[in-house]
Amino acid sequence: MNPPRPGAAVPPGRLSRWKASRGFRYNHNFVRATGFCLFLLVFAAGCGTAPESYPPPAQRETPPAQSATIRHFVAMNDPNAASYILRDVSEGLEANSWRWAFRRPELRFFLHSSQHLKFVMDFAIPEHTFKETGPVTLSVFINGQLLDRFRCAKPGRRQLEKEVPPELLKAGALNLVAIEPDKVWVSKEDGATLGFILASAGFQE
Amino acid sequence: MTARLLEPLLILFGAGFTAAVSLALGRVLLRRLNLRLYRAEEWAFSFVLGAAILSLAVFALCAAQIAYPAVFLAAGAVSIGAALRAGAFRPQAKPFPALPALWRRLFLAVFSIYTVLYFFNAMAPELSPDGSGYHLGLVYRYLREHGFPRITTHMYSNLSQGVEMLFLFAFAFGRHSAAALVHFAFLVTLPMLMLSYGRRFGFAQAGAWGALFVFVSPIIGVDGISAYNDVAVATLVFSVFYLLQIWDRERAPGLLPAIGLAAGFCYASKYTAFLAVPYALVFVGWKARRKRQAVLSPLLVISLCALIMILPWVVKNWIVLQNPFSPFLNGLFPNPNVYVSFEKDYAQHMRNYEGLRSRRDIPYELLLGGALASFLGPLFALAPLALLALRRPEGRRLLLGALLFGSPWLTNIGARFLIPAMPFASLAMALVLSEWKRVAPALVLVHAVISWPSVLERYAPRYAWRLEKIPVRQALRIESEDSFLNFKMPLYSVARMVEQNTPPGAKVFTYSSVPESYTTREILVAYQAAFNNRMGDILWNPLLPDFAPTWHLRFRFPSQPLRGIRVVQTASGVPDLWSVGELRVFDGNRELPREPGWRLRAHPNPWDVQLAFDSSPVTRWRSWQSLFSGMFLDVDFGGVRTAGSVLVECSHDQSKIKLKLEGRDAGGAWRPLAAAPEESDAPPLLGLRRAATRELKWNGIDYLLIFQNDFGAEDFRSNAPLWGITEVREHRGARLYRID
Repeated sequence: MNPPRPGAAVPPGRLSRWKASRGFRYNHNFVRATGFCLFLLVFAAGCGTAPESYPPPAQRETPPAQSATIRHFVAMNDPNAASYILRDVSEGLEANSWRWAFRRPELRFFLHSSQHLKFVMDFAIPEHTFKETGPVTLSVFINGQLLDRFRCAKPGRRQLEKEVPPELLKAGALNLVAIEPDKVWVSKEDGATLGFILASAGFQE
Repeated sequence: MTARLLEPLLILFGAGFTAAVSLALGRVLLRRLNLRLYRAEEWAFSFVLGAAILSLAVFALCAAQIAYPAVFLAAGAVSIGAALRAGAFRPQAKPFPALPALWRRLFLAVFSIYTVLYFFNAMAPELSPDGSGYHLGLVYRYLREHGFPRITTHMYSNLSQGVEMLFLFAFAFGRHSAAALVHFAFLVTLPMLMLSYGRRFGFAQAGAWGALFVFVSPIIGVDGISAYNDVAVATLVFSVFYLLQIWDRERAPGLLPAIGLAAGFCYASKYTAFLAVPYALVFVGWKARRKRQAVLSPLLVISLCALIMILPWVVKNWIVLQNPFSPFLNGLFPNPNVYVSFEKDYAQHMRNYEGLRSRRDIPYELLLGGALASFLGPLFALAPLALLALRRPEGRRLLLGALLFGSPWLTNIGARFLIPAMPFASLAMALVLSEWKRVAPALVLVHAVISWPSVLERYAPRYAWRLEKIPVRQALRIESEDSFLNFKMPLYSVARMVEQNTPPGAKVFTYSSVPESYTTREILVAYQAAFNNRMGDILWNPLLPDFAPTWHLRFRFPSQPLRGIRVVQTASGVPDLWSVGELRVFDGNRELPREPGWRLRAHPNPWDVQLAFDSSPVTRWRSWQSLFSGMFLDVDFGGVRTAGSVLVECSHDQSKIKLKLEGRDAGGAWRPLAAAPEESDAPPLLGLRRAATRELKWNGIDYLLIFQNDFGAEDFRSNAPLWGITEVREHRGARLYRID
């Protein structure tokens, strides 16, 4: 059957027969059938649920010295601080955060690596000792070798930070740090000495 | 030389072939629906409806993983051949009555001049940030992988991409510019539709001027020539409106499937255009009811035809992302791919553009500023006049359309989110202005002059997104694409740097977007998915002391046999996110080993619970939702174990959390073990940088791309050995590092 010429008047019966002969044409049954299929598709897609629980995953390698008793850094209020202190640091904790350091306090730290580390220390020179000692210079020794000297011209809290040459450090071993103030406060009453206030010290990247 | 000649031909072929196939499919559909339209309407609706069908077909080819250029070529050729055989291109409809000569000349003059401007800009290399970024980045990826790969790390792939399916069809032959020219096809269709609308409904003059108000607008031009989708969406939305008006007048049943398809294609093209569907349903239902005609049947037809276009995207998201409307509604459809907090932050970000100093500046920025990413043009300062159109029924319809389709702007105040409302507002303005003789044409001329690139340059902000010239040399590739993009688009050369310095298949993590359509490497942008958020969090951990798990919260209780423990968070109403770096259970001083039989649970975000049990100092489980009472982490020992304390290693960036501990006794009953933990601080940790990059490597990421303004950029550069990364290349402030 030939299709009607464009623009030509087509009798209704002939038009519908021609459309039917060309295969698909729009009607509501088609839409309803499509709708039913789409409904089934959506219904099926909504079946997933989140898992309720998981087992422990593979454990990552624990970073160096993370779980050892002596690590790379200690805060004076750490319950384990005594393990780090070798000498000249008070046993008693003050204000739950710091301890007195005396003539030549010495601490030890375990380092897994000697690369890219800096020595850091959070400390303070108290005003009442400064009044008598004046400016104080702290000499920091790592494993017996001088790292640097730090002059404290004013009393108050200070943060010390100094890159450590790898050759001063021992990897995979305990490293000794000594801090020596050039002046200490000496009690006129009982001769007791006070150097500075130590809050934390150790190594960081 | 031959390649340089071939390039523009391939671009034109890609775009032309896509438009031709759309027209062919649309013509066949219109014949099948037996619609009585005018000739101009027939062409415009053929393109729009045919584009919908083609988009659906390309989706199906992508889903079947057979998205090859040869398949597109064959399918397109068959479609055109079938349409020709059926005589679908033979004109049957009658033309509109001719416009008065003066109007016609003025319309054609302005329309033609701007069409030339737009055509060459669309054909020039793709410069737009989003077009060269995710719109075509994803299209290129679909083409490389011959279909939809399972993407869970790119929020923009979760959006409906109906127009991008057309871009893909064109991109397969002519790459970026072919895709942009497809959008250009919608750009020229829109004023034709608006003009036809005016002619059909008896206000041809207003139709002509309203069409030009829109067509000449700077934002319409720059968006419409880019591989964006806003102008296409405006065309689709207006088509739905237009078809509904015809249906209201003629009540031809064949219009209903066309309305449904077009409305569904609106959703398929952009989520915010979903309003076309309820609008069509309410309009038809209301009108049918008023005339006491059947309501259910036409609504069913529209709904089902719309669903044909909508459901593929909904189902794809449901299967791949477990959220049919991803990346939104994550609270309603919890899933591991997009976090609730991200959605909240993103929505807030979209409502507050960085360059916007004050809300009071919004009108200025919309009209001729640049802070909202482009501007409509000073003419639209007259938009309030459109309210006078409320006096006429057609004016009321148009203003309702403007209000409805402009409402998504409240969720994203970028100027381009007003584009779908512009045809309606412009026609309403033109309806009012055409009451005064010569005012509207005079305004059209002024608008055309002040919107021309060389004039815009005199008053528009320098960095506003706008057209600059007619780039003939670049469009015809007399100047190479590479040379032009290197000059105009700094990030292009960064994308090329990534391409040239990484092996195929490499995954590159970055905090800032790059034009990913110019590289074949997978770019993971920190904000674009939950996985990326986690990687970004890990990488920031060594840089931000507050992110490190040094805040130790220890619950102590009498040692006893337990089947499990649960740490419950009880604070609420604060924006903190709860996180746990590690959760450890002790019997005396001995930590209980994490046995394979343990079962770990978390609420919310159960999918990341293992991050609190992996012994990594840089990973953490996070709620990724603001605090609410009842969040928990839970361990089931899978049997009875003796425990006397629980250590929760946290970071300090969550000061408002309140935790308590519950235990499940040997009988299986839950009861409180400790009301509050003891707090202490652990020393700062060593090796975090290396641990972070190692974690990224474990997650398949091989490279970092760090821009000079990214947080921590200097640390990456100066501490590269600590991070365990090697700088591969630096270019324009962007450094590419390989994770060793």
